[in-house]
Amino acid sequence: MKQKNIWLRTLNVRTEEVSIVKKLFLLQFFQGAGIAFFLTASLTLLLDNFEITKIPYVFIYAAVFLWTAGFIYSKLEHKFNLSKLGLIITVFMIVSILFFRLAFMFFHSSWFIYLMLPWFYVLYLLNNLEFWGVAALLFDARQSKRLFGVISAGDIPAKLIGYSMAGLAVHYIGTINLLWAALACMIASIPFLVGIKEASILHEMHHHKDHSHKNKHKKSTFDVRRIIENYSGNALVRRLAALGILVSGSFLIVNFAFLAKVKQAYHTDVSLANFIAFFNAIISIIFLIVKLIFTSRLINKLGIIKSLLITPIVMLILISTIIITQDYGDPKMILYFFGAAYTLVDILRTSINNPVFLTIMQPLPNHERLRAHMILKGITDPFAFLFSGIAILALIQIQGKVNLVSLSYVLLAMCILWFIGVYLVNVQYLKTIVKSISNRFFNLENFSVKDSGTLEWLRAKAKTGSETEIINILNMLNAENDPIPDDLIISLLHNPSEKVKSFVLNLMMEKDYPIAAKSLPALIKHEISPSILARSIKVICKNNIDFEEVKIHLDSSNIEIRDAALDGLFFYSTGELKERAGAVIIKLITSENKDERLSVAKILSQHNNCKEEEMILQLMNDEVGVIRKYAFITAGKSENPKLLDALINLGIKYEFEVIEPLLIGGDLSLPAIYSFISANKGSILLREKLILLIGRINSDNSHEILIKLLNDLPGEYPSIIKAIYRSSYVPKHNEREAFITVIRKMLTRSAGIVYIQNNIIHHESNLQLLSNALSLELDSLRENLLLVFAILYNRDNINKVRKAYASGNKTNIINAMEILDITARKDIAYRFNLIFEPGNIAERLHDIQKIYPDVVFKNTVDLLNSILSEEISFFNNWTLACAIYVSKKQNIAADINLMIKHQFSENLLLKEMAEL
Amino acid sequence: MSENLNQGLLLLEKVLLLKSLSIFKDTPETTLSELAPLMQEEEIEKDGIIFNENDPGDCMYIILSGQVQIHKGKTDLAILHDKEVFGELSLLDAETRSASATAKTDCILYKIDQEPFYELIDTRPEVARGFIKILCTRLRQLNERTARSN
Repeated sequence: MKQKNIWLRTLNVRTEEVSIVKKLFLLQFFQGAGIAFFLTASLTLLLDNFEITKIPYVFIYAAVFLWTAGFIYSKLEHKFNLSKLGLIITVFMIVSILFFRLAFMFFHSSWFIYLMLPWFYVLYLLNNLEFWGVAALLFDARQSKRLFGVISAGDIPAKLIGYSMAGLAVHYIGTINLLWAALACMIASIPFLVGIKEASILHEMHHHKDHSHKNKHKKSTFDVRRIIENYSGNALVRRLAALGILVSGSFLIVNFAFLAKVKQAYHTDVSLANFIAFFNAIISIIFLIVKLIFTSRLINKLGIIKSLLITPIVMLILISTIIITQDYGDPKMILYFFGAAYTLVDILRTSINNPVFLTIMQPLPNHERLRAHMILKGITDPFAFLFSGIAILALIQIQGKVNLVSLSYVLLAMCILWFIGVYLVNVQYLKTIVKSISNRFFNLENFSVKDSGTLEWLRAKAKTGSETEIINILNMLNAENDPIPDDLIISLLHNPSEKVKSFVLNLMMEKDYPIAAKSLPALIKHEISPSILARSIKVICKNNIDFEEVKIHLDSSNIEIRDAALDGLFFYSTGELKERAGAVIIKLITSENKDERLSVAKILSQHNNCKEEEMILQLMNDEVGVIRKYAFITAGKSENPKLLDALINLGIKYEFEVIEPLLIGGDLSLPAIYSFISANKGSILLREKLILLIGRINSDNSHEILIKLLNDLPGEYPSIIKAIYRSSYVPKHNEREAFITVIRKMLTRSAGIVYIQNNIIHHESNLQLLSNALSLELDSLRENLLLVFAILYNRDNINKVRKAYASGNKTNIINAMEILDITARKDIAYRFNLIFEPGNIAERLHDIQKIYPDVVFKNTVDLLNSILSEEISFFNNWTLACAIYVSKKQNIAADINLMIKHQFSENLLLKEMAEL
Repeated sequence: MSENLNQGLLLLEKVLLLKSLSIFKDTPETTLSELAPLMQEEEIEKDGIIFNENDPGDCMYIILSGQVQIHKGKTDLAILHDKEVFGELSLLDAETRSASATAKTDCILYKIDQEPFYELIDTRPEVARGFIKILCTRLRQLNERTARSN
């Protein structure tokens, strides 16, 4: 069991996802193996039965087939839901493989052999579309990020095993019968697809609205007009697509040359099949190693442009070697060279080019990025097939034979075009970065600059760009771990823009730039902007550079400059200078002039761990709100328990003013907050805000306190639960039971309210007002229960349930109940669904009575008393007020004592009703 | 209880009045009970001016009883009755009034001022959320109407 958990953690798969991930993995495994068998058979038969000169036609047919298959798929996509479409496609693939196999039995012509290889490309495309379509349907965006890597990995062992098995099996069963193996693998995938289909029904039901809506607006992936529109829309996408065609085209020509040599070297179908199968198996292993070990490291180390150049450089070297050695080399040697070129180009383009292409698309806005993916998926391959097929055919027609030397020269020319293409893509990529920086639509979380080339370029751009560009570039560079180079900081301190200079000085306050700071004393001699001068003074003091230069500003008539000098000297200098600054501060703090006190409050608030306890306490009690605000922040930053204690107690007087400063205090504020809440100090609203604040502090200690409060203060459940939910708390095994207890209590209360509502229906009095109030109580209980579920179980699923209830749509709620059933603990989900199922209360009351003992109300008085008493406690003020109102309005003699006690309520509405 | 309107409404009854207005029909009573204490009663005699066109707008009105005429100069734009609201956007912005409002009969109005409303949403975000929801619903309806008319 433990072993299994370790595996799941390693693969980042959650327990509830295991079943579906396993099915998807096996689906991809069997279909991948089936396709590997099919390729081995089709390629072998083609090479065995036809001249190599026929291969270009195969490429041209493949282009036509791919367009047609893609087009039909996009039409079917609108007619069927994706899981059904997946099944249709698999059956279609099975039928097509069976057709080819039977064709060998019943037809003597070999035309179908000719179509098998183009058909392989169709199978490959359909498998991709089907698999990713189904996977995208089953997982939301967050799951996709985690799981797509794992499930797509099914393809690699499938290929490895498929090709190896084909290589071994061909000796015993012959090439044609490899199609049976392909067929068997495809059929073996069906149970997994059916399993996935069943699991996806619920999901689709839940998302039905979304999907139908999306489908209405979705344009066909393979709509030529649409692709051309998109293609012409963005220069980066255009260049990437052109480079993509060039890359795939080069690969196909190398592939052709390699196949020509293979055909020359192997003369029987078995030896051909054997070679093709083992060769592809080896490629799969190398691909796996390169992808796992080298890809990300290489891209990070080399940067984007250099990574893109790896493949053409390797191809250039190999093709040049082939050209040079063709007259002297062993023919077997040429085969190996072409084999190596084919292998390396295939591996490098898949493991390096494709990820780099994705990285290059990152600066594009989301919708443009999606378009780029669509174009690269939908346009490059068919066009590459078409162009390379026509090019090879033209060459054969001109020379009357397959001339690998000419083909090598074509490849050399393509290499050169490839270099140019990479250069053009890089130029456009950098332009796009600048544009995205200027538009500020990039997100630092998604968009990280790691490669040294781009970093270098950004630094250069920071010296020459516009104000906005420079600030955004600095933001990006600052987000990286390495500090910004001092030379760049120094040059930007001379920038004519005040905004840029301020930004740089702020960075210098944040992080240490001692070398750049040394240039400041000379610089401030000529500085005329008070704001820049004040900032520079602070940086100079922070770096202990030239206090004497700063001293003269203590007497400045400009308050900003004077305060900066005071701040710098008081906090960073020592001896006589510090004393002098201190004396000025004391004079200011006792001044009648509030602006002077405010200056000190602002200075102190800029420092963490300020030791001036007396000064801070004095300012915290200042009559001027804005001075208090700064003093509260200073207390929050002070790490001083005495000040934090004083701060929270001032909350009684100044209520919410203390919240943010306490948040700044973080963990150190927690003891003071806990004692304050436990002692029931302050207003209900303040206590509620403080509980939420504990959640916002979001540390292990704050979680511990919230759990303690959950046990101690059941009356504060809603805010405690909300605070825990909003934090990143994940309950440990031994803490889960406390939440289950809370759930049980809340379910019991909910059942109690359902009983009261049911009684209200049967009472002769008009208690609609009370019934509405109780419905609100139930809504609130339901929401709080779902928040506890979200803490304990799969948060994404539970949030779907919450949204469904918030929508009020009955179908959505029914689907949500199903989701809850598979997400939460069975008994709890059952009870929840029983109580909160939409519809008539009386219908489900019978089942509720089996679980919760019925509460009997003899009459309306009894019912009102039960609400006003603490027996079914914790009703909100609105419900209590309604109960009193109903009692008084309709002269129902509820217990007067139960009403009078609310005369001291903090809530105006309840107090007014009780006093009436 | 408050059968006699002249005695003024209880807070709870003010909540029920707010709930009966179309703009607040989807807002929970617990949220409205925060808004109710801000309602100030105003009695306006027949032909009394409630506000003039181009006056700065800083409050909304709810008609408890009577009729209010909304007009631009002498042109009538609407006659509003019991449990109708006017000037509600002035709770959120300080634009000038686009028309005048005059009591067509003796009226009892409830007025909610912008300033205390702002203070309330400072401490009670759920009230602001309720209002944002109302504005979104209206915007959506307006968009749909525009789309239909196009």
